[in-house]
Amino acid sequence: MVTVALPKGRIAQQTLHIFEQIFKEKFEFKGRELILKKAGFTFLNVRNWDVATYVEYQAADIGVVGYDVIKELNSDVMELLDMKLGVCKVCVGGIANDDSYKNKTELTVATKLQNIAREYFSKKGIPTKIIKLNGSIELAPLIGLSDVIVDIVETGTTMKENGLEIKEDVLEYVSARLIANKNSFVEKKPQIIKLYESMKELV
Amino acid sequence: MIYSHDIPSETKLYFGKRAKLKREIEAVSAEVFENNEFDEIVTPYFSYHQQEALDNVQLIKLNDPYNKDLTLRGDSSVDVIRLIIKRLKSNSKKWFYIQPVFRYPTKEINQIGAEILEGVLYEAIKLNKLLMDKFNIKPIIQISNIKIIHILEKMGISTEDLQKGHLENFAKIDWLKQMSYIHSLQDLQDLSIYPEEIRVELLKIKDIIQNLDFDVVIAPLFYANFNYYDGIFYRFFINNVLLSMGGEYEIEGIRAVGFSIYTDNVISSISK
Repeated sequence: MVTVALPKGRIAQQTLHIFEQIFKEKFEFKGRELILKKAGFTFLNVRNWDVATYVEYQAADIGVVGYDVIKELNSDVMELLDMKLGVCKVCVGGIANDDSYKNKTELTVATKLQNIAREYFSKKGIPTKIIKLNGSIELAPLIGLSDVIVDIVETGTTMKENGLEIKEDVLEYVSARLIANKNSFVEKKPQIIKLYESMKELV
Repeated sequence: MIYSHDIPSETKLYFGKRAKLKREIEAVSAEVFENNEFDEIVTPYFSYHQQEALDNVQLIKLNDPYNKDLTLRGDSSVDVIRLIIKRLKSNSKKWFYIQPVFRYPTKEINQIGAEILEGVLYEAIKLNKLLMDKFNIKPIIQISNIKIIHILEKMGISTEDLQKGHLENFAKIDWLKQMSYIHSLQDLQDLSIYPEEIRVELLKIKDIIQNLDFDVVIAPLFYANFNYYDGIFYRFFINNVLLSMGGEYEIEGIRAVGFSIYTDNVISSISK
């Protein structure tokens, strides 16, 4: 039995659709169901930010989660396959047509991706004060809470609609990855490899 | 605020049944080692030589009366072997110890360890398995070879690919893809696809497994950062808990094999 952690929402639906294509049967969480057992798999319906944690601690053997989450949490998991789902990037955003942030000796950065932001500016040798926000990050530079933001960007529409623009790319390619617990991969390699091979054909 | 009942993070406190269990595990282990003609050693808590075994950042640092750097013992093997060869000048080849190690900032790890000078690894694995049988634990036994990782890095395979198990990138090279799928002894029957350097290392794994009379799993691409294991190594784990690890190494010009049992993890597994 292989346990699979899936992030609630679109990625879970897309991943279950891949399972449907492989096993030729319906895979669906009913209502508010958190556990689904089918075809020798147990699926766990968990929050996006918890998938890598479930896998790292082997509450699940494998999971599907965004590269941004893996990177932010520095999760000690294996990244077996780029599922090419939920493709986006992580960018520095700021007030449109205003690059004055580049002249500051210390940048105030609002983000929910604190570690990714800290590492990015640290590599560039720019001192930063990081402010952790949990949502509506775009608001921060508009009301003077921060100089810039570091956030996930899919189309850039939200930034544009709020008078912001992409200033720099932090992670140019972010997508959902098939991850595995290191011990599970050793212990259940034949089952995980078989699934990986089937998924690879479909992504 | 520190409350009167607080203890530092990652220190170990045992009482009642668990304290008894710890004592029994250690007593059973000592008996098995004695029956297998091992000598016992207890080494100092303080050491001058731990940088050979661990990264500096993991060590709890102090200074001796001459202001020379020393540390709390973070690993036992290096000191055990050095003291046996350089200080005791003993002819005994088989040693065991039951003592904790300490890591920065306040981590305590209770260990049962064995070192066999000029020994062969399958002897260590068998003895380690015997101890797990005595504890009534049936772990997964994984055999890997750190030399394979080093050879692949020299060949230009990225460390990140190896650390993260990027199967997609391994698939670009036929033999590397095949190696990433190796799981059992059966997968080592035909090694003709592999480059000579890799084939030699896979054969070493095969030789060791052929000397064992129990099931193991093979993970040739398992990435690990060791300061002294330099060849075949193995791990015993169950439910994501590492119970024991051992391998081949060289200290002071002498080839040796050894293993550590992580007593705290064994206690947790038995208690579950």
